[in-house]
Amino acid sequence: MTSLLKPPSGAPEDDLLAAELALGGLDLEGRARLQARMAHDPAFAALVARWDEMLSPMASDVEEIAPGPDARRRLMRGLFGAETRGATARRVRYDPGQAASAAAASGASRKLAAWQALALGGAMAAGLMFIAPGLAPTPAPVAVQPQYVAIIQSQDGDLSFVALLDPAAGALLARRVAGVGAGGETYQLWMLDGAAPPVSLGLLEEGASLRHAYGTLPQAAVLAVSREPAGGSPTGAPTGPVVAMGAPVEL
Amino acid sequence: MKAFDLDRARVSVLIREVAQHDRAAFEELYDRTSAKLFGILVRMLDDRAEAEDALQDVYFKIWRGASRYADGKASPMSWLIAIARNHGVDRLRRRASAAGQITGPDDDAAAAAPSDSPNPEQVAMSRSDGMQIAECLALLEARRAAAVRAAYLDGASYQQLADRFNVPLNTMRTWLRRSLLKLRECLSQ
Repeated sequence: MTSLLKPPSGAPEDDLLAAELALGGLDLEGRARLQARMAHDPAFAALVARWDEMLSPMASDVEEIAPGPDARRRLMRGLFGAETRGATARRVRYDPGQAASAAAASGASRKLAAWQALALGGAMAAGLMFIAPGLAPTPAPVAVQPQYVAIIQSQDGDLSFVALLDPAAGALLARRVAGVGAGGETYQLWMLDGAAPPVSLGLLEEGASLRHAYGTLPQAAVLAVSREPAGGSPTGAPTGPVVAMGAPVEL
Repeated sequence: MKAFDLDRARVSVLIREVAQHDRAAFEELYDRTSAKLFGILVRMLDDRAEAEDALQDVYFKIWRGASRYADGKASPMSWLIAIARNHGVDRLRRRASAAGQITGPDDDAAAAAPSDSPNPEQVAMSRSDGMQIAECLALLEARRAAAVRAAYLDGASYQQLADRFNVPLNTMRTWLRRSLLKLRECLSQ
């Protein structure tokens, strides 16, 4: 503990900037600049972490407030695409039928959709392809893991989505980058794997990024976007037209 | 359940398991820590619905960022609290930016600004993990201690604090910088 609190040997100004970032008083621009610095300057990030550590006991008298059960359901569905499976689940998997029926059956489905689709404004997507040969089922976060990006476009190129798969982080992110929204409907992202039923990866809502837990990909998987009723496909399978497709490439 | 009564070792193990994409560990981590992080976000954002949205973002960041925790030396709750606070503060700044009221005095807050007298809230703070820093805060001049707490717990910006305490912006920044250095000195003893 004492070593954590010892003043660092580096530049005093850096230490003060780290303290200010940890405390939080800076404006948006100042914070963004220092946060960006943390990403490529481990020594500075360590200074910030030390201040975070020192100040965190101040949070001990903040009253705990249990979030509602709906918040938990939204989070787990948004990340994992299905109802909580219980403490035995050890691996991220998709269960599109379950996710879709749960969403359709729930009055909270719109909220869920709003979060699940935190990314895209609205586009019709048809297909994204991820090609991730040789990925282990649950890759350990060691060293630099490959990342994959897919551009998902309509045939005329007017509608475009981008998706990032980060196996090390167990996350897929996607959003619309060109074209118009789905109006009162929604765009839904799917993974296609040969003859297997399409797997829903979530809804691409206006003005937000879709986020989905994703640790594994079948080889030669393809991503597609379809246009679906608000709240997503009621059947668990694509019901509307496929509007865009794309293939992933390793970065 | 108090945040710092949490089984720290367990939380640390859970974060490392989440770094391996362990869904069950993620759910247990949420169940053990979400009330603390939600309390922080509700206090900072002062809006339960927005705090619930923010909580979703925070746990997504935890899911994605757990491998960075696993690489580091931070204590588990400090790491989680930092993620929640940073997200809360960023939301507040964007909110202010969108409303075009980055400056703008807060008259109500100014009226409620504490005097230089001893701060009963700080003196009374007695939870074991918060006690030491509370004692050190109590050694600061009361208005400066209040500014530190408002920045940390309420996410107040330098400009808001300068308005609230009726001092120039640069003076407020100097107050807080010096207060932080004094806090560290006190905590190191």
